[in-house]
Amino acid sequence: MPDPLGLFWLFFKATLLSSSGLGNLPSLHEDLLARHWATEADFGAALAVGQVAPGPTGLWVVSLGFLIAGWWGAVLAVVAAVLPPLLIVPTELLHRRFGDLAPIHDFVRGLNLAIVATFPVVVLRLVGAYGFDLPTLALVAASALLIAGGRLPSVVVLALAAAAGVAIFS
Amino acid sequence: MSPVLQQLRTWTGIGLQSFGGGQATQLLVYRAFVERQRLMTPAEYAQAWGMCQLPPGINLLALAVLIGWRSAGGLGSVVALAGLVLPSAAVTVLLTIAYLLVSHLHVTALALRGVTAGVAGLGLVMTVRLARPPLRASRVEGRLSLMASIAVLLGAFAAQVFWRPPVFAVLLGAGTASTLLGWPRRFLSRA
Repeated sequence: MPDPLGLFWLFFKATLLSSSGLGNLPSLHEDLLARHWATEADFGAALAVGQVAPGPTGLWVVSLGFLIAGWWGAVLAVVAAVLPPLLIVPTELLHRRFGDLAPIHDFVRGLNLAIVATFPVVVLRLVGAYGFDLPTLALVAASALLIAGGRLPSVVVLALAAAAGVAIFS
Repeated sequence: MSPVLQQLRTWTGIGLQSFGGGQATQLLVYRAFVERQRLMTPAEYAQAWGMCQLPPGINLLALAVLIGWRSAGGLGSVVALAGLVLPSAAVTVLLTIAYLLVSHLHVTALALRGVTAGVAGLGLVMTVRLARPPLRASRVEGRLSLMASIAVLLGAFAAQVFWRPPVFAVLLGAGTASTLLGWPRRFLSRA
């Protein structure tokens, strides 16, 4: 089992560097794969469980923590996920005073844009783990269209993708 | 019912029922606090949600802390956070255990490959949805601002694809670039 303090630090650092539920993905992906503490399959499973489970999608890290280090991993992931959002209280107080300052406003926008840019990078790496073959790319495109259409909940689309995976790749 | 108990009850209900990710959760939060309990007006909710984009981490957890804090102080924020997170985390672990029970089957590997493609599709949709608000705000500020935002977005993408620097460096670089690129616009608008 990985060193608990080291594991907590990686989860905590990833949350500190993120500004949304999946924003912690790039940092965790980089650190955990480099240390061989998690595999691409662990990430795929944890992200899927995170989509299916109730609550914010960001709690997918609880599943990842459990896959890496059992119950302790899950607890460490929960603690690492809940501490940084507590900063909303001082943020509200600070924002009331300084939020209108243009340089701060621009800096925060730059952070948001960088987080947005990490999503297609992760998409490339997730798909790349299996190879960029035509059936996979078609499945990615079909899932994106169904989710963007908004008629089906994302859980249902992922279930369809799983069924399609079994049908196509077997 | 005391405000603290009310917070605990409402958030626990949301934590258990909100199947379908962040958007499903947000819808339940809005219905509970704006439409049913009338603790906030729609405008106050929008302002609170905007504020929750600032601290790091899961925005919905920050929203729970903020609503709990505004309605019942420090204790309110702790019970709101616990009420949202603990049931969701417990169900997440149970689902992970269910996955582990079937993970050795060949069919699971195939299904997971399909799900990974599905998650990738979700990632593409999230890219578009998350890119829209900052780009739209930039467009309102003028062409210079929009061009600066597009440059930061493409720069951050290219940096990660071609050089693979640490994520921290990308974020810091993008924030700094956005501040510097915003300078001419701020200068012109003041002139």
